[in-house]
This record gives sequence, structure tokens and C-alpha cells, in this order.
Amino acid sequence: MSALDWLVLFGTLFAIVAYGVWKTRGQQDMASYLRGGYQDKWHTIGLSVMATQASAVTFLSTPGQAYQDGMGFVQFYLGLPLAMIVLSIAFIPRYFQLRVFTAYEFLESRFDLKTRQLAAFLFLLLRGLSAGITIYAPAIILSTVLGWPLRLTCLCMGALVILYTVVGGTRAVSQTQKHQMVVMLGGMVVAFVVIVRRLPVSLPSAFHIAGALGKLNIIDFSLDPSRRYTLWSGLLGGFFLAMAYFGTDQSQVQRYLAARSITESRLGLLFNGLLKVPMQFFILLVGVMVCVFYQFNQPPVFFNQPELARVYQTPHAAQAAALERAHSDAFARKRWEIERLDSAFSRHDERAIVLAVGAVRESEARSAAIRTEMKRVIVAAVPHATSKDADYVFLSFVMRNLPRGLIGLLLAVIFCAAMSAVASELSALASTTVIDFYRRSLHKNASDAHYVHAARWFTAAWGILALLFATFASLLDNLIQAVNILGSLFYGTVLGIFAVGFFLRQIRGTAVFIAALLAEALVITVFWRTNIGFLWYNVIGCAAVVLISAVADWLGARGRLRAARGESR
Amino acid sequence: MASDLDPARSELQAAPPFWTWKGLYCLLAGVLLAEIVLFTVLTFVYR
Repeated sequence: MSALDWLVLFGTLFAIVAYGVWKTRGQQDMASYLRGGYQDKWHTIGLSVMATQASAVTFLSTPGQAYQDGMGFVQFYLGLPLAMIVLSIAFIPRYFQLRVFTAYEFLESRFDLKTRQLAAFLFLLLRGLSAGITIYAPAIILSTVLGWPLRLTCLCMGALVILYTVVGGTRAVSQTQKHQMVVMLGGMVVAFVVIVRRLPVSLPSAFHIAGALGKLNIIDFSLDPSRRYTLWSGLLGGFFLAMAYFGTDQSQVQRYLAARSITESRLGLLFNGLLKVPMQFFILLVGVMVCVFYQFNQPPVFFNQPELARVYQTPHAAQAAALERAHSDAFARKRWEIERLDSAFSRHDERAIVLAVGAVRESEARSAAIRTEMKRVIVAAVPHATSKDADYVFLSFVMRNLPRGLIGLLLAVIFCAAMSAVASELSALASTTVIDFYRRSLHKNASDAHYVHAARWFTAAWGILALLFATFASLLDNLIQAVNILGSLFYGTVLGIFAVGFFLRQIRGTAVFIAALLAEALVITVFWRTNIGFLWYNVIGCAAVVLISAVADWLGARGRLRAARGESR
Repeated sequence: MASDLDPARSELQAAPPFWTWKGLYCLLAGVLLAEIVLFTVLTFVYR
């Protein structure tokens, strides 16, 4: 990296953090520290909500996913705008009416303390673990590609976030996120423009080539529930997931509770609903354009280059070298086919297009087979090696092909994304710990200053815990997978509890508590026993809580009626 | 629960600064529908 890149990277990060700390210093009351002093306008809320959801993995993995599998992942977000409408109508007014600090306070006002603390505990468990992953996942990729020490990379990301989140609380989070989001979107637009300008073909031709490679398979109408991303799983499963994430996850709820009014809060969520799908489409499109770029410029056979370099220190070196040569030959052949296809497109020669598309797909299959074989060799040669390199595609492209200065900007995008997501998580973890446990059950009736002081300590403690988890996460690969699965396993149940709370007002606390436990058992059984796509767990968990709680409440009501009759006799 | 600022009850019925809430919800749903149509067209044109 050049000096200019370092300057852009650290200049951007420090400027945003310094602004956040300066702007929000000296907050002493809970309304300021935990709800941002009710000052944020709708555009700050919208950008803050988007920045919370967009972690570094969004900018590292999503283009890589499009590079390998096409743009079908955008369907995952199709239910989100509809969820924003429902949340604006039903959830936000209730939260503002009750003037809650956390979403879980609503559950006590509606049901009872045990239901509130069950949901808050699940949040702390899942979000506490995922805060570590939010730091670790990009750090492992950055440290591998840039050759930085993993612990130093984790520390750089984590320490800055802890600093401004502890000092400024939720207002510092939303103020920095607004600027971080501008850097993220601006950086991706610049990357897109640079990639397109470096293509030897026009943008419409690039679309044709991407289509021929099967990368513009955006919508899938399949009804097969085992397929992960379809229009239906995206609309229905994605709707329930977005309802759970934006409506019941404190890291998001805290963002829009910081609004100066219900109107600003609602507008912020609708702004998110309007921009989210185009933003994800655009990030995926960047990945597709990287794929087209690599049809004219030879890509590495395996994008995690340090991992590949390790193979050359083993007895499998000759095999790897032979595969690299075969990959080069296959690339030369494919490039010739791609140029033939481009020429057929420009002549509008339908017959030649059909023939060239067939030839391109054959060449693509040959290259893919060589890459698969290379992955097999890597796994055989290097102990604990991972054969998945999609996460390295975009960063590897940036490091090799972007001009000086822009590399620093794109790295700033990734750091900003990681920091904005972690800051929201830490702030929400501290709020929930203080409001739902510390103030509610451990230390009642203290002063505002005492709770703000406690919130600062809890923010720092959760931050250090996340850093420690990130630092040692490499030893716990299976745990990382477990954390990701856990999230999808619990969201539906938590949403079900809130759905009953908001929409089925006659159902009581004990019924919903029992229903939540049974629904969770059902979701876990579905996870173990079937291969249903994980987006459907949200629907199953939520529906199970609603149905079981309705039945349990009805049975409870009958029991109470019988008891009352018995007593009257 | 917080006891500082009390958003007025009328705030619940407050109209957005532009258009109406129903209008904004329909706009958002309409944009989503247009996106699905656009993505479907792209899928079939470039397959």
C-alpha cells in the first residue's frame, strides 16, 4: 500500500471518530446517552439503521458471492420494505407511547418480567457472540490479504469503536454512522466506475457477458423450500427476518428510538426500506462487473493467495503448478470465446450468439473444474485450510487493480462498515444490560448519572469481550458457524413473542412464555431433522409461538373457568 | 421507562412533512413491485 492509501485510510477513520467524540462529549443523563437525546432526524435514522445492518462482511462477501453464484442473493432483501411498513404502523407508535429504552421493556408492560428477561437474555447471548464475529470476520480477511497481524487488525477496529461508543453512547453511534455510510456508498460507487472504465467492452455488452455466464439470475420462482434464495423465501422468510431484526433486535430498535419524533422515526425506517434493495443490488452488481473484468484479465486460480502459497511449500507443489498452468490455458481459451460472443452481440447475429454462449459456458465449466481441483489440493496439502475463497475476491481485486488512493478509500469502506455495525451492537448490549437487568433487578432507584456511568462500563466490558472473542475466534471455527445458525434459530421465536404482544392482546404472559419454549424446541427439531432453508425458520418460529400461545391461553382460560365454577359450588 | 420527553399523543396522528402516510406506504410497496418486475425482466433478458 502506498503512503497516499495509508493517509486516506487513517484520515477517514480518525476524522469520523474524532467528529463523533467531539460532537457527543459530556452526556450525563440516560435519555442522552441511551436514546441519543431524541435529536436525530429521519435521514440520520435511515443511514444509521442501514449502517448497523451493513457490516464489513457485506462489502467483502457480497461482491464475492455475486462473482461466484450471481445476483440471486438480492431476493433475501425483498421482504424488508414490507416489514418497514408494518413496523412503522404497529411497532414504532407503541415503543414511543411507552417511552422505552429497550424493546424488551414493552414485553414486561404487555406480559411479565420473565418474558421480558427471556427475550433480553436471548438478545445478549446472540448479539454478544456476534459482536466478536463482526470484528473477526473482516479482520481475518484483511490480515490475510494485507499481511497484517490478525490481533493488531482486530485491535485497530475494536479499540476505536470502544472509544467513541463509551464516550458518546448512542448519539455518537448514529453521528459516526451517518458519515461512515456516506464513505461506504461513495467508495462502492467509485469502485464501480473504475471497474466499468477498465472493461474493454461497453456496459450493455458487459451485461450480456454476465448473462451468458449465468450471473444475472436475479429472480428464482422455484417453490422448492430447500433452495435458499427464491422470490418466495425472500418475500415471506425475508419479511419475517426483517420484522424480527428491525422490530425486536435492540441494536436496530435503539437506532430509531433516537429520533426526535415518531414521524422522524417512521420516515427513517421507510428511507431504509426504499434504499436497501437498490443498495444490495448495486453491491452485487459490483461483484458481477468484477467477474466480467476477470473474463478479460486473468484471475488467480484461488483468491486466497497466501493459502495457495503455502501449498508450494508442500509435496503437492508440482500438482498445484500443473493446475495453475491448466487454469491459464483455460482462461486463454475462454477469453477467446468471450471476445467471439461480444462480437456476435455487436453484430446482433442470433445464431452466432447462441453458439458462442454455449462455448463460453463450456469454457467456464472447464475453469470451474480446475478451481475445484485446486481447492481439493489445498485442503489436502495445508492442514485446517479453508477451500472457500469467495470472501477474498473483492479485496484481492481492489489490491491488484485499483489506483493509489482508492485502495485506501476501499479499505476505509470496510473498516467503516465493521466499526458502524460493532458500535451499534455494543451500545445495544450495554443498554439492555443496564435497563433490563441491572436497573430492573439488581440496582433499582439510583440516579441517572449512576446508570450512565454503569452503561459506560458495560459498553467497555462488552467491547473487550468482543475483542477477546475476535482474537481467539480462529481457534473456534465451529463456534462461528454455530453463532450464525443460532441467530436464525432464535429470531422467529422472539418475533412471535412480540407479534402476540402487539396483535393478540387477550393472550397472557404465561401462555406466551410456554409457547416460546415449545416453538424453540420445534425450530431446533426442524433444523436437525430437515433441510429446509434457514429463512423459513423465522416463519415457523413466529407462527408456532402465535398458535401455541393461543391454544395455551384458551386451555388456561378454560382451567380458570372450571376452577371458578368449582369454588362457587 | 424514561420519564423525560413525552411525545404528544397527537404526534401519533401527525402527517409526514410530505404527502400522507398511506401515500408513502403505497409508494414503498410500488417501488418494491417495480424492482421485482425489473429483476424478473433482467433475469429473462440476460439468461
